[in-house]
Amino acid sequence: MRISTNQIFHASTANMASSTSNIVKTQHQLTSGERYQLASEDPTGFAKTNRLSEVIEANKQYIKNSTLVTGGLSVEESTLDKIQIAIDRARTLAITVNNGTLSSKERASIATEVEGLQSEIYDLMNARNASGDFIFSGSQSNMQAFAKNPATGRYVFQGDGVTNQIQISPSVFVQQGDSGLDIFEKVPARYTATGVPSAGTIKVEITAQEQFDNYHKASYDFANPANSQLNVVTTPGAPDTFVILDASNNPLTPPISGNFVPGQAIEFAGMAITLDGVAGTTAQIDLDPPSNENVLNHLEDFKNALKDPTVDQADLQPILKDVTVGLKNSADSILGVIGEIGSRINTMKRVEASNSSFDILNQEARARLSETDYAEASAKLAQQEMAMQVAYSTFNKVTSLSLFDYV
Amino acid sequence: MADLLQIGTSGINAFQRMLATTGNNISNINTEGYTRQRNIAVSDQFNAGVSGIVDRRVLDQFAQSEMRRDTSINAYAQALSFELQRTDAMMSDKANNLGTAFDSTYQSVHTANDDPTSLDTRQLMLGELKSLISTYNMLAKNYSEQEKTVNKEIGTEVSEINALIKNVGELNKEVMQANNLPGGASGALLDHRDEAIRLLAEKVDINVIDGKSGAVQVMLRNGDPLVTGIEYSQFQVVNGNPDGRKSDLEYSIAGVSAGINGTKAGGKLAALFDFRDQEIGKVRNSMGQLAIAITDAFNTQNRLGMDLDGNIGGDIFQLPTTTSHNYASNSDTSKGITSSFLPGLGSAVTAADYEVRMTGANSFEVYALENGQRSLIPAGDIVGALPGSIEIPSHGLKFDFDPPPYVAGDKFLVQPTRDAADLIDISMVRPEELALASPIRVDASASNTSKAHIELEGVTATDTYAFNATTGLTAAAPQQVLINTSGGNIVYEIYDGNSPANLLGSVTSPPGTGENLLANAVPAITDPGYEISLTGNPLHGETFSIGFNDNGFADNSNGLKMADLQNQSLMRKNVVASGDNLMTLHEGFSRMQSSIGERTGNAIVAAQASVAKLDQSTNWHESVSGVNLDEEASNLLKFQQSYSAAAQIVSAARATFDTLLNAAR
Repeated sequence: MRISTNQIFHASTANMASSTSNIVKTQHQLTSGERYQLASEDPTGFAKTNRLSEVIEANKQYIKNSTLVTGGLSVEESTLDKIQIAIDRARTLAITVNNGTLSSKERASIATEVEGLQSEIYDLMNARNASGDFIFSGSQSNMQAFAKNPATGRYVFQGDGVTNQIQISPSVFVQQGDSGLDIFEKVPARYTATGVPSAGTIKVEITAQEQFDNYHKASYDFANPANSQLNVVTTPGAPDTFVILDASNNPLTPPISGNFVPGQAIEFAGMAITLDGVAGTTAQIDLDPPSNENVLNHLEDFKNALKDPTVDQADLQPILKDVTVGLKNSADSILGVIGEIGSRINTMKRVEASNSSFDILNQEARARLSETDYAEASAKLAQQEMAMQVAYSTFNKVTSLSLFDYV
Repeated sequence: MADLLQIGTSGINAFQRMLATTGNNISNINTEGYTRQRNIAVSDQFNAGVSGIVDRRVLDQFAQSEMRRDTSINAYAQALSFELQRTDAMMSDKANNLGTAFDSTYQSVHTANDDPTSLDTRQLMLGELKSLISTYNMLAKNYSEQEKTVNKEIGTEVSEINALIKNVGELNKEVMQANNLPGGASGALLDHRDEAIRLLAEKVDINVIDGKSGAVQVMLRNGDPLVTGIEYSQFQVVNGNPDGRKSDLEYSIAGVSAGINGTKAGGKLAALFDFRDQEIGKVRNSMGQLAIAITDAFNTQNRLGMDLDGNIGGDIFQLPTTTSHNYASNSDTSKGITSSFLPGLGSAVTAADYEVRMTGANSFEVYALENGQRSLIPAGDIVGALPGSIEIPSHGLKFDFDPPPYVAGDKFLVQPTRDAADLIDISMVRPEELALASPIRVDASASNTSKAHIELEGVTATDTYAFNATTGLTAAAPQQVLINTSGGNIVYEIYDGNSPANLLGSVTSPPGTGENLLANAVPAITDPGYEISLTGNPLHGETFSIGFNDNGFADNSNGLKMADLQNQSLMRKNVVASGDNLMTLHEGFSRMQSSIGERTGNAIVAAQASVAKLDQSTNWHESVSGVNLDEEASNLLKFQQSYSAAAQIVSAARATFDTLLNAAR
């Protein structure tokens, strides 16, 4: 085919231009580390890279979140630990008081220690985090969790039961803290019963608390508390006898009856029922409705009883029982929460581990899609350089040929 | 017998012209549009010698017309790929990346959730929301600027085209005049005309036919004449219909004007029209759709929460309204439609344009226009009637019609999403207004001894009878659950907030459960906009409260819902629903980015192919009409030698004559 002179130049320069543009592109890949600059170069790769970046960025945030929650939970755990230690000391004191006859001086000094423990626990229950929020107030973080009501002298919870969740993976949420409502406030108080005699006096003592608790739980009718009352009927005779009947005056199964001696305790279901009236009197035993009490109020009762000189050792007994059981229940509740915090931290560790391994996989996948393969790109650059050099030298050869040089 | 002297002289003359032509070829080697020339010599049939010599341009008309056609195709592909590459580069730019903006927005929501009462983290979140919107605005502004630039460029192109058409027309006239003179039109004149036609072919796709006395007729592919003999037409830019901001084309010849479809013109002009009307419009609509989907989602979620002032949350973003483009043929062009978005229905919004067509004074039809499809929106999807405003919940739109009267046949073009990404704005100023907390708090009473737990299933609306701006919850709202087991079964009794409280309804378990108490209550309770569940075994007499979340600022449950918007499918894929028609916002962005990338990639490939094709036809044309210096060198030698030879003939004639003279002496 006939070739015009302009074609020869045009073809050579066009080739050189395309070689240059290829070299520039490869060089950009090498220096920027990015395989593509524009979506048009690999639309699906771009979309996938976007999606991976989204996951990687979200993952980063999840890791940040779990670090934060771990910090918050550790603060909570150590606060609860300190409360736990204080409660243990208070329990020891309760046992000390229970065991011996104490001088008024000793009682006063124990009262002072209880007061100290109470204010320590009060402070800890109103602990704040780094941002100044009360950690046990639920979502009412600017409201002190517990405060003393000046009118009643009782400590009341002022927050709410709301706890925040923090997302630590696409599907896992971890509870950031716990509300004082669940840890301290909703702690069951000791189960008790009250007796009402037809004549004389009655004393209902709980001698075996655990046995009584079981009986109470099994028998208490929330809807109709009257259904759960017991009737003690004594009958004069030789000897005097008693029988315990249920609310409808039917004998219990198995029947509970025996000889009756006024002033001598009748043992039933962990209760010691002492009637001092003559045989023939009856008494009604009411199971008290279950209630909740927080540790501060227990300590308040304990302290007040110790400080009151009119309360003798015998009067102290039911209060001590209330306090001991209440403190035990509080300690149990706190222990339960500490255990839960541990399991939350474990969950987070597991999720964090899986997050970071996913992160590595995703980073690798993104790198494969969007980052320059240096070996490949350098080889390509060398090849393109060679092509360029060839283009230069052939250009020189082809264009220097002219018949005019020979005529 | 011819005269030797005359024969020699004719040769000398001929070779002189040939040498001149060769010289001309060599000198014009760098002249754009030059066609090499050859001399055709004819021997004298009566007398010996060369009788005539004709200048001829060496030209293959097929090669030339193919080159013209490929020039048009190439100009189209180059212009389209150039514009698309600009679009693609803006969308792929790391600094303007919407995906990155999404990521940092969601991260800031998480950070705010970690400490909902902190103003710092809230400020950060508000800042990120702002920067998300400004990324939208910036990107969208770039695109609307590009659209405007292209629109202006159409005007520039049209004036260039007009100059070229005029040029061809004038040259045509000169060629016709020259053809009436002896010697005819010169090669240079024809070259000039061919070059003008080639330049015209870059702008529009043309057909060239040779006419009488050397004139050419130039017309558009559809047959509209541009140059006929000495008459020629001119283009005009007119305001578009219905969108007056867009230039449209009209052309006039011999005093007659007619509208012309720019996208059918071919060449660079059509590329500009196609880009403006098809490509950038689609991109801007998708951007608008994405912007509406995300801002509406955040607005909706914020309205379901409680802010740091203890109020029900408001809107974070201000969603734009648009006015319709009214067709010029309407009975009253000043009347139109204002379209706005229905709050909470961002996921129903499409990237389509809409055409509203009046079928009577108060009746109308609405069509969704997408991907060249025109689909009628069923009358059942339209809520409300004219006069006034109507709503199309299935498309998340509200149309406010200007006051009547309207006449059947009036048409309006509504582009709700076209400018949405440009105009969308953040309206929230104070970080306190971010509603991260739930407006509802549920609690078990502190005196409950069971471990039964009340759970807020969710808040679905805060504009119901249950909510009140000042008091939080109204007295009529369900506010308490009381457990009654006196009948043996657990009965969940739901009470309102009056004093004494009224029993609204109850659920008995079994057969019921504690799940979704408000929805399952007998008698039915009007949906207050929230739902609760109870788990565990509650005891008789226990109470559970449902209340406004007064002071519950550390709650982040609504914030968690905001962060979870990342994983929610909140954006509609197509107008015509087919199965799973929703995607996440991130997917929406990726889809937009990759679809631009794909179209740009295709345009680049098309441009490369058209270059190859143009190269091929140019090579064909060049190989026929281009100058080859070697060939000219050899011709130069040949003609020099021929010239010397002819001169020798003259010399021989003289010698012969001298011999004769000498012999006669």
